[in-house]
Amino acid sequence: MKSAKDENNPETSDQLVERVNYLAGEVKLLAINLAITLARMKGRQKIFGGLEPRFTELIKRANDTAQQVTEVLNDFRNRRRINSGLPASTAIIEQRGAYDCIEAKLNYIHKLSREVLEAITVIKQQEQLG
Amino acid sequence: MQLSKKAKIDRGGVGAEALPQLRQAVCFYINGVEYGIDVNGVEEIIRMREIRTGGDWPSSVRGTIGWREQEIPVVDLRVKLGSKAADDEAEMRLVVINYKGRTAAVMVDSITEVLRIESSGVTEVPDDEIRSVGEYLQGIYIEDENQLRLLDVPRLLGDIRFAAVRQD
Repeated sequence: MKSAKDENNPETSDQLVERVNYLAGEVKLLAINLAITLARMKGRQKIFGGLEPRFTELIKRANDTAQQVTEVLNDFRNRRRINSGLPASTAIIEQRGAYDCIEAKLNYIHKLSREVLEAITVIKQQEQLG
Repeated sequence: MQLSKKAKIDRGGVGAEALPQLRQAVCFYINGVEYGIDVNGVEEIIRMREIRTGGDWPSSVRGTIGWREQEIPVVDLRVKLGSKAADDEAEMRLVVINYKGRTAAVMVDSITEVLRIESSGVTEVPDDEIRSVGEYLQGIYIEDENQLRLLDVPRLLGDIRFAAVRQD
């Protein structure tokens, strides 16, 4: 990932949006597949054992990327605050839109990740009880 | 919506009464219309991947993909349901379905959710839809102003000769 230092390069925000979009898609797929697995388990909880490493790895990747993007977002906001008295150029306005998009996707990833982790916790508890 | 008793008769009794076992459905969009498949018939949702063309398939089958060490056919649901294929397929998803050991992937525009279905909310397929895509529909689930068309997995896979691919 490019650093926040490259924020004047229009490609940076586009790449970030693309990356976060892909990540959001991955987490959504993960959540849907987990929901499918749960719906089909019907007491066969041990099936989950083989799937858990995939879920955990994806969530870890999602969180790592989310953390990196959050750092870029915060850096951008700090710069915007410093430059708030200056007229915004078109490039900056476009970047703001991109970062707003990234923020919305991050919130979405965070929500889905939390739901997936909660589901994993419930399954583990069921397995221990069973 | 005008529903017809004829729907049930024309479809050999595969109407709302045939669905009491349906509890959850995987929901997705095709051409702006939301469809669902019984979750018990769904193995996994995956991203689009390279499709190997060739072979003697019906026109709605695009070829095969490798999935969990199997070669499975890929059904273009847009074509199957009478629309033209999508211009951009990169963001489409594949729903891997299984019915009695026959596995196939169906191409859909996007996945929405896994929805819990109240059987009492499933209605028969109206006449005008029976004439177009009705043969693949089990019924229509109505919740508030939303309609979910429930697809019939055995009928979707009906014209695919699975002998052409390896089965487990």
